[in-house]
Amino acid sequence: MKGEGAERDRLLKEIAKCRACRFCVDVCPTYQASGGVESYCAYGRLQITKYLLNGTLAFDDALTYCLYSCLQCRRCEVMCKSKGQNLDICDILGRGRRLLSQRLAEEGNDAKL
Amino acid sequence: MYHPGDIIEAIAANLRATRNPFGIPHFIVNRWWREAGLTAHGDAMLFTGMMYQFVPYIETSTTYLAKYEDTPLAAYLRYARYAPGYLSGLGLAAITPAREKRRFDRILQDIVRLLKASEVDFYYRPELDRYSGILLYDLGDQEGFVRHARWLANRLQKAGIKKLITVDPHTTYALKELFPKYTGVRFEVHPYFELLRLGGGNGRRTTVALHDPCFYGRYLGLSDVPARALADLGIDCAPVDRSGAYTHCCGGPAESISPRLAGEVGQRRLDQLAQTGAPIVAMCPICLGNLRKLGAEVRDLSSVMAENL
Ligand code: SF4
Ligand code: SF4
Repeated sequence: MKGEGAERDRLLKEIAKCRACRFCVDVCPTYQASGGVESYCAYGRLQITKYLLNGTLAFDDALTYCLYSCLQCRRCEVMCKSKGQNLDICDILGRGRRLLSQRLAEEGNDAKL
Repeated sequence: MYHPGDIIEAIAANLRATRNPFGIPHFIVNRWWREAGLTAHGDAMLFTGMMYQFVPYIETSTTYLAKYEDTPLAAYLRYARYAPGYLSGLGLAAITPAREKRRFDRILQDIVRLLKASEVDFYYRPELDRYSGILLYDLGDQEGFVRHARWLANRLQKAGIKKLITVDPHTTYALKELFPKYTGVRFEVHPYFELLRLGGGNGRRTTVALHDPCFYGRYLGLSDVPARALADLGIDCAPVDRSGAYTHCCGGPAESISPRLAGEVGQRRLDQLAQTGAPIVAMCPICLGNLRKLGAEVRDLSSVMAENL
């Protein structure tokens, strides 16, 4: 899709601003509900998005679930911003999902990013 | 888990075909206003965005989704998109209990009572009060959302609507932040509690545990406004572990992807609220539905305020 490559590059650039400080991990409700699985917190979701976008990981059901189970509640974001890191986490994850849903809509559940 | 692709496609197909995410005809969903004695002219239009009206239907459909989550039957959801919208929607409307629909309609009637008691100059036009499309945006179908939002913004603009009174955080956020950004149309938007002027109350002092929804607490930064409106009526808010900018999600947004996860997150929130020992009050239809589903008695902000007038 037109413009998709540019959006992917923009997203990768924004994700690269994450300093892996992990302040956002403990505050995430889905991380807590999962009993502490890092793929279900902001940091983990950003890494998954990054690896899907740069082709390191192949897209599958488990990874889709990690991205779509985010509640978009912004709890992580308040923490990230209060620590001066300032990532718009929900916007980044939402845009990642958007690229993904375009593929899902076009190619069905077996879509690859 | 349900596959997000199937959920998005089912909702988007319904919205395209019927302007309603569940495919239920508008005149069936939106009946609450018929005995509310409302006028069609005034300063600001009451805009419910259908979220309260949808909750009984969401409850019914997620009860079924929860039953079949992680069973081979889950995969059948992908065929839902082939059923014409109104056909599947009418089925859902038929199995949703009337008692539940009345319960949510009453919340909107209470909001009307509060606005009238505050002498707010408002009106209602049921044909213009439609769903905002926010669920599609949340699920990442931006194109679907923008298409629907443009349709609605145009309709409201053509009718000369400038000022809207909203009743839930999701619609408020959609109209206040997303509509200007994606449709270029800007309305003056006020959540109803911002306009309330309810001095005094009935003299009884009570305390409640108010659950801040993420969209008021973080997205819109409005948490203190409902607390002030309650204080005007002599209702105190017990200190809740995690509130305001650090409020804890009710789990509701995960409902369509995984009812189990929604339940686990909701239970944690419920425990935090229950710790206060005070009656639990919510101000978002999604929070209300998700927390109630876990067996807790949760009331809507408007009902508690109307009762204390
Ligand atoms: S708090 Fe922000 S910078 Fe730190 S790990 Fe989380 S997303 Fe990255
Ligand atoms: S927005 Fe998503 S990642 Fe961030 S705290 Fe909420 S559920 Fe976790």
